[in-house]
Amino acid sequence: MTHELFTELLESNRDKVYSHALYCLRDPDDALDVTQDAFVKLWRNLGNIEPGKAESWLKKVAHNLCIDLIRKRQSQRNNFGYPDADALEQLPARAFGTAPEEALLLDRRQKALLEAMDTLTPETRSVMVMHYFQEMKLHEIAEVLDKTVSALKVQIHRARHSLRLVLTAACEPDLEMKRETG
Amino acid sequence: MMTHCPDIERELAAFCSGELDPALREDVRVHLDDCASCREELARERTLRHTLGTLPEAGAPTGLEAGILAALDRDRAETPNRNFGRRLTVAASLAAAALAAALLMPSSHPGTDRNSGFSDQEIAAARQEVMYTLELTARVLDQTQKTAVIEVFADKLPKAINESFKTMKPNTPGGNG
Repeated sequence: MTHELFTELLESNRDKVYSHALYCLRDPDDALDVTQDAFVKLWRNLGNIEPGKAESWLKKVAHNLCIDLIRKRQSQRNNFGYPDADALEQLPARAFGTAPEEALLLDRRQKALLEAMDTLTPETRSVMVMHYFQEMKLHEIAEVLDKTVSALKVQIHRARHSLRLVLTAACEPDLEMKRETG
Repeated sequence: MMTHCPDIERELAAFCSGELDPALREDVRVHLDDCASCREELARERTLRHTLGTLPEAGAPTGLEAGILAALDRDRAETPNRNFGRRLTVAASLAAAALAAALLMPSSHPGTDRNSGFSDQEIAAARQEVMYTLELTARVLDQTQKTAVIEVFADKLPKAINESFKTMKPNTPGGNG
């Protein structure tokens, strides 16, 4: 039963955990390490996790592992400089069937935004990825992270304020297009 | 009724994800109708939502499962060794203790010959070694294991050693492990 449950959880969550880690860490190798560690921890603790709670347990572990690794990398950068400036280029290309110009524009926005999110605290960056990328509701995140919904609202509001410049710039092409098309 | 911009701005994420109760949602909507600044903030919230929400889900590399299995294999490989090491320590310690007790502590068995060929200093040093070995043994066992050892060896070790062993501190999770 444990084997089956683990295989099921691995199959249904491997890409979700990896994507979360990738967009938090912006480094494919680090994302793979976090994903692997999260599932190893899941296996070791499967017998102690309340039935039906394994998925949210996994999310919390991935969140904590990302935060730990971001802090570790920040500390390494402070001591040894920036090791991998091209890591962003390794993020997967956008795979949606919209017009090439739109896709290109969106890619640029996404990269700019992800880069700007480096200025946020590791916790906030992970919360942003959970809410906006993984589309988790605020109450779901609150449950996973043992926080209040109010605290999350404040955290997201502050983050949006910090990202104000890049978000305003991302809004402008739309506004210009609207002006041009009347 | 909520009318201050900072209060409204804090609700915009929940407003967009449909998590506000109807009354609060209506407050926010009414405010947005009259406030250009909050409408701009709403545009930024929607940009944020769209930009991150349309990131593609990245497929985890195929090496993931192999990495997990390798880590779990390391776990399995290490666990029996740890147990074996613990069992070996217990067995060796108790064997050494029993042997030393038989040779060096005849005084605990009235009527046996005290002439073992060792000086008093050597006997005292050996006695100390025995107690130290038992102390180490107690530290690698938890309370249940310690109780089991005491029961098994109750009639095989001198009473003095058994009594000392009972008072030694067992291993506790997060303690001297």
